[in-house]
Amino acid sequence: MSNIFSIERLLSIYTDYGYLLLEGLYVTGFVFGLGLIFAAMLSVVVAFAKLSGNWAVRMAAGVYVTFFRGTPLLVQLFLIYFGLAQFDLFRESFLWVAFSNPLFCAVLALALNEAAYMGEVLRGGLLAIPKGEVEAADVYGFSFVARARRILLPQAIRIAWGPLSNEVIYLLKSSALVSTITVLDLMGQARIISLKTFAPLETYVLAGAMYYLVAKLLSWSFKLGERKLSY
Amino acid sequence: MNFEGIIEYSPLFLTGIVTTVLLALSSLALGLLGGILLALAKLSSIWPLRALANVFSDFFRGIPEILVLMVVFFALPVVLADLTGTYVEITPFVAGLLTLSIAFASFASETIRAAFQAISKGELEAAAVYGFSDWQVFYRIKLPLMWRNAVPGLGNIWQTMLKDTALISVIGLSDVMRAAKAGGDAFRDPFSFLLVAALIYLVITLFSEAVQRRLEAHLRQEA
Repeated sequence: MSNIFSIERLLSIYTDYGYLLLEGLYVTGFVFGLGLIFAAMLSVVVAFAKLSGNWAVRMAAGVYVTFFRGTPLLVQLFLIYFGLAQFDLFRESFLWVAFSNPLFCAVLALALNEAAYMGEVLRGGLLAIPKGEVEAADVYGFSFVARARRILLPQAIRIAWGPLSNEVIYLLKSSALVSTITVLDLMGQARIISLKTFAPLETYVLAGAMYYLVAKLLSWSFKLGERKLSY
Repeated sequence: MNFEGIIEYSPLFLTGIVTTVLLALSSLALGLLGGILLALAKLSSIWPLRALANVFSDFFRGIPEILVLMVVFFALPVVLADLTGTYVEITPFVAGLLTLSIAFASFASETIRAAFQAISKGELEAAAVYGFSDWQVFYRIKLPLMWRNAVPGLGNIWQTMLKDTALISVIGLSDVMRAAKAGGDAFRDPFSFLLVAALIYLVITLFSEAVQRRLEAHLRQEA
């Protein structure tokens, strides 16, 4: 039997282990989805904090962004999952229920990491809003929160839509790293199947095609959204 | 903090830094070459070449680097053995180099393509009038002008790749990440060792950012 890529082998992997890959895809979707939701919320805080008039707030946000954008996600993931586990004080606290769970650590690391990137993109969007619109909101007596929610954020998101959609695709790809802390996402399942079948090429091609399809689906929906957002 | 342990492991960290930087720089070189070739293929008048380059870069921008790494490290040796009849070993460094270069080239090809297209026609016509050969036009005019347009965009891709080098520790490359993992396991103190690794990566990325800023300022002055 030839060792080079074989379609029959790929199909037999699909029929025998397809359900595991789909299970992995489901976990990937879970980690990616939750990570995205928390990252989006946190990124708003980060963006406004970096533009704050209070220097201490600005600096705290600056340190956060510099650390999470300046170090590899893998290091952050390991720090949270392996690093925190060594402290007895931590292991005995109620937090341990959450932090002993690799899935929780995975979502936390992805959200913290992505929020730093998205926060910077959003900050750029906020800075690009015409001054007049902000002043108009002030004249109408909008509160800080109302101004942010109704005037600033919708505009910033529209302006930064392209880079934001890139970040979302990055997050999907980054989510594959959670397989290194024992999470059985699509990547984790593919690894196990490749060991079982001794057919790494066909297994990873199958998993790669699934990642690619999801990434394409995401970028298409963002393009669709862009058309809806434009006046 | 386990300072004694970290001092004991400092030689491992140092060789790790050398490996990490070496891997990043060689992937940059190979990735740039690949990116330029892909960009030229995308701008080519031969449609199969165009299609091939587009499919290649589109596909590799959509799948995780760790997956590509696994294919290169575990599947490629088997395929090569079957094709050549002899076993070809792929070291973690070479696997990392290939993976990171493919990712870099795929992203960079878009930036480089746009940078080539942004060159004004006048400059090329002037070169043609001077009797430059095609190669001279490419090497002396197009490439430097493209470079000026592409550097800011390429800088972002480089920063991403710099951090992605940590990934290669998963298949056993003795880089900064691997040193931190080994030290953390040996002293049962992963937190301290991972923090040291984080700080090392931070210094490398901040240093690189400073260099990029100077390079961009220099190129702007030239323009």
